[in-house]
Amino acid sequence: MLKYRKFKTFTLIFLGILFLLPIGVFAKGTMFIGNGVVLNQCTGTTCRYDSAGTTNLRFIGDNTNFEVDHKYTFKLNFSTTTSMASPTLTDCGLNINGAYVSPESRNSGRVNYECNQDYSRCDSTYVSTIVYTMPSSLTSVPYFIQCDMTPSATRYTYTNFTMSISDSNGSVIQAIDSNTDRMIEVNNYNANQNNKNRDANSEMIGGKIDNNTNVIGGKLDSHANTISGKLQQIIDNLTNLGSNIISGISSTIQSVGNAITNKIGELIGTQEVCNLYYETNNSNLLHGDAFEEGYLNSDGTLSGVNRNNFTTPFLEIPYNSNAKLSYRYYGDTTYRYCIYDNNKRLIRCTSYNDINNQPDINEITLNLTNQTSYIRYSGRMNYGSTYSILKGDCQRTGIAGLFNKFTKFVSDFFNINTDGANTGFQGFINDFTNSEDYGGLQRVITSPLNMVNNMNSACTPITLTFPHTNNSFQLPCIQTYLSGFINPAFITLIKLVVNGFICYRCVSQLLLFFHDLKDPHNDEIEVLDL
Amino acid sequence: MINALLSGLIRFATFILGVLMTPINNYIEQNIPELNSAFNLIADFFDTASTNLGWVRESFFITPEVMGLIIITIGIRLTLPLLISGIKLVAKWWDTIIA
Repeated sequence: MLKYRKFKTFTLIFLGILFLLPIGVFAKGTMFIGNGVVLNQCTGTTCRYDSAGTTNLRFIGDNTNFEVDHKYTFKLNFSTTTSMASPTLTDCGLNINGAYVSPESRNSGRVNYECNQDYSRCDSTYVSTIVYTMPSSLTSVPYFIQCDMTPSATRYTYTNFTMSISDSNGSVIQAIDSNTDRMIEVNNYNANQNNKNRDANSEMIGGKIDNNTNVIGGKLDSHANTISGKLQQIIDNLTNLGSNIISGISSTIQSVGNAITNKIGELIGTQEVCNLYYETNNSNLLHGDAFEEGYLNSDGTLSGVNRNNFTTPFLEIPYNSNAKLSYRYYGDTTYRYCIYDNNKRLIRCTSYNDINNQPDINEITLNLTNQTSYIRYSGRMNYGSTYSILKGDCQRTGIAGLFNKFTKFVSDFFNINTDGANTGFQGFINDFTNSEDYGGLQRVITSPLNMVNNMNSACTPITLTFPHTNNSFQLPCIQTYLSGFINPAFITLIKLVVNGFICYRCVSQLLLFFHDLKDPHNDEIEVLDL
Repeated sequence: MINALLSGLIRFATFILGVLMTPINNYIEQNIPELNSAFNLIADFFDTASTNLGWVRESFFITPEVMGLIIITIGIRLTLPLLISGIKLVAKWWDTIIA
């Protein structure tokens, strides 16, 4: 019975882990929603948007007890850190209970725009103020402010994100800052689903009230008017508490899942490190005042690198298989002159002889999905017999990376210079006949003892230098190598299992050996019986 | 403790080699250089292994203590049968003398 209970408990724990693990792995954050476009790859307040166009941002608010026919002012502060191109925020409006309501007055615009000297970083602040008089048909309603944002193909860091609601007297009745999870909607599906659920609930509640009204009549109405404010507040507090608990658990599961996903990705080698560089037969290509490049640091700051003067390779960028390389081609929307080779991971732009279709590359942008770096080039490409290629010398990490390194090593090894092989080989033989440098018989005895004495020696990487070549191959210490993508606790567990098994084998072998010594018919003893 | 034991063993071996085997070693070095080269080759193998022992040990996730246990096990299994055979040989020789 006890064994069955233990089995049942372990089975439940195991099934629970199995159930939670995929949720953690796949619960990746999507923080902002747009009109059919998801702004994904968000970390904290940093999101990126991978293609230019117009989208909507929605800022979800609480259910607030608006009083009928009272005027309210919704004020939105929205700050970003961007690169050259800055988004614009326009046409902010209020969506009440799923319907857009025209504001009585609206004032939207950018109030601050500052760039550093090389224009690699610009800070923008937007304020949108909308004034509404709540319609008499609605009292407690869900709402959100919807704004149109026109982004370009770049990365934005949302540095500030606040919304406040004031009554007609100017008193702030509700303020929501960027740390409030309620402002962050998950996606369009959830929003639509919430609307459906809300509609269904409204119908159900409405039916009950109608039925009760027939029975109790005005009594219910009077009580409802008395307790609605406090009751609503209690319900709101409980809802918020539950929401915070669930969001906290979700956040933990999400972080664990992301960590597991990243480790698995590193282990199987889905991530790559690339050295990107241009190959060209014309040094003037893509050089000029318009050339720019930069990368976004992990802390959200933007740095310029080698402006107008890039070297080869000029920047190392984490690069994965999901990276997107986009480019704009001035005057030619079909992009027929540029081909992105996904296998070779390079963009190849060829020139064109027709002067009317001069391939003037306006911008090439390498968007690295789920990474913190990007490169953008703006420059002019000559036409004629010239070419310019953006190449990526990519190496995978993890097991696949090791295989790639091994392949490269084999390739390099067979491309050897055998000059001096004769001399070296003769020296190799002669060294072993030089009695002055070697101890001969004494070393045969002392060397094994010295080896045993070095049992406690720490691991040092083995560097193998192959004779007669300039190639060397370094084998790192296994724990140093594994610690890059395996938790040290897991390595300790492996050591525990391996050493436990070896100890068991050694002790059992010794016991068997001594046990067999007592057997006069033991073959091992008889063979040695002289 | 293992280190102290091994250090003592090495000192003892060096002493024995110094006193007894140095003349033999010198003779081999001077008159049989091929044999001396063979000894050097074997010793080089152990020296190389000694240099990289930490790397090998860590690659197999083996701790120094367990490695000592492995060496002790191998040592017992190699030396004890020889010891027993020697004892038996002496006993048989003694029986012959008594008879």
